[in-house]
Amino acid sequence: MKKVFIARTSCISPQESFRTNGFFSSWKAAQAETDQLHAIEPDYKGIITDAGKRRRMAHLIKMGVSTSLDCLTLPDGNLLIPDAIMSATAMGGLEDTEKFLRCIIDNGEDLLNPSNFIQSTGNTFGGQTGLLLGHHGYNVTYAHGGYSMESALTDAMLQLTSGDIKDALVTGADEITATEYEVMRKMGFWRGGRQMGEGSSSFLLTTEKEGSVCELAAVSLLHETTPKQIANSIEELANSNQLKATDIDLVLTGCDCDKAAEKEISDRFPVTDYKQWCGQYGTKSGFGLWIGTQLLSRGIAPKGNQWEQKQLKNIAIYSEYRQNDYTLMLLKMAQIN
Amino acid sequence: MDNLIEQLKQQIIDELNLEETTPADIDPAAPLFGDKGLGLDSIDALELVMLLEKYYGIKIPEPKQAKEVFTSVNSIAEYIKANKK
Repeated sequence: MKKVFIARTSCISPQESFRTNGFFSSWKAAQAETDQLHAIEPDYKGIITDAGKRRRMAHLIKMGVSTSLDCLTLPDGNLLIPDAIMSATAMGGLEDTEKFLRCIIDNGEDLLNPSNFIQSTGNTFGGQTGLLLGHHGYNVTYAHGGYSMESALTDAMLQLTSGDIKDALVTGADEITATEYEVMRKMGFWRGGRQMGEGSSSFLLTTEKEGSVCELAAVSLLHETTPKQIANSIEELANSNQLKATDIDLVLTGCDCDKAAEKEISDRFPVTDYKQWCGQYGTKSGFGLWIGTQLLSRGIAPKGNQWEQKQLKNIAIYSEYRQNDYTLMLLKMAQIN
Repeated sequence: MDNLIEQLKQQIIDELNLEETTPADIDPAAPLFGDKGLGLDSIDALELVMLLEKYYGIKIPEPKQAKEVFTSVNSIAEYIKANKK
C-alpha cells in the first residue's frame, strides 16, 4: 500500500505561525485568566487579492482560504492545483450564521441578507478555495464535531493509498464568536480550565516521499474510551506501524479536562500539551498535527518550557473534544521510512 | 438631493462591505454594475433591493425596473425621491 506524506503546511493560530521562522521563541502559553485565544491574523489583502471576493468573506473563510492558498503556493509563486480538496470544520461559518439569525429576528423573517446565508455554510472556505484555484475536482467538507479534521485526513489518506489521487489539500478551521463562547459557557463547556481557541491549518498530502516534510502514518478515532485504553491505543498505533512504544519520542497531547487520561499518557510517554498554545476548538488537532510537522522538519524538540535542537523521529498526536471525541495521529520522519 | 446621495453612498459601502471604498471614491453618475464603476454583481443587486426596503420602505415590484433603478447612485436617489412615502 502506498504511504502518505505531508509535503507542505500552513497555519494561522493564536501564536506566530503564519509564514514565519523561529516562531517558537515568541509563543506564549494560555494564562489562567484568559478565556479566549484569538488567532493572529495576517494582512489578507496580499493573500486573497480579489477584493470583490474578499469583502464577502467572514473571519473563518479568510483564515481557511489563506492557509489553503499559502499551503499550495510554490517557491516560484505559482499555485499547485491538487487532485482533491478536503475541508474540516466543527462549527462552520458561525459569524455569518449569527448575523443571518439575528437578521431573521430583527427583521421579522423578512429582508434577509443573501451574503450571510451563502457564506454561513460549513463548506464555504473549501468552495471558495476551489473557486479561486479554478479547481473542478473532488471537493468535500467534513463537519463531524471533534472528528472533523481526522475525517478529512482519513478521506484523503484512503484516496491516496488506493491510488485514486496523487495529492490532496486538507484544511481544518474554526472560529470564535462571542455568541458561541457565551452559549457554550452557559452549557458549562469551559469549566475544565481550557480556553476557547480558533485557527486554520492546511496540509498538502501526497504519495511522493521526495521533498516531503514527514509521513502521516496513521489517523485513528476512539470513542467511549477510558484513560488506560487511550494510553494502550497509542502503543497499539505504534505497533501497527512497525514501532515499539519506546520508539514514540513525543506525544503532543490535546487533553480537555481529563486529568486521568493526561496522567496515563504522561506516565508512559514523553508529552507536551499543544492546546496551551491554540486553545480548544473542533479542528484543534490540525494545529497539533502542524506542530508535529514543524518539530520533525526543523529538528526541534520541547524541553520543559523551552525548545532545543533535537531530531525526533516519531510523534503521536492525541486530541480530545468535549470529553467525547478522542483521536490519535502518528507522524514519522520521512527519511527513516 | 446631495445629502441623499452622500447618505446612499455610505449605506452602499456599509451594506455591501466595500472595505477599501470611501464615499469620495464613488462617482454618483458611474455605473454600479459591470467592469466600469463599482463592479457590483447579482448578489449585490439583492442587497440593494433590501437596502431600499430597509432604509426607505420602498419595494421594487418589477424585476425589470430594478435594472433601471440600480444603474447608478444618482438613479437610485431619483427613484427614492419619487417613491418615498
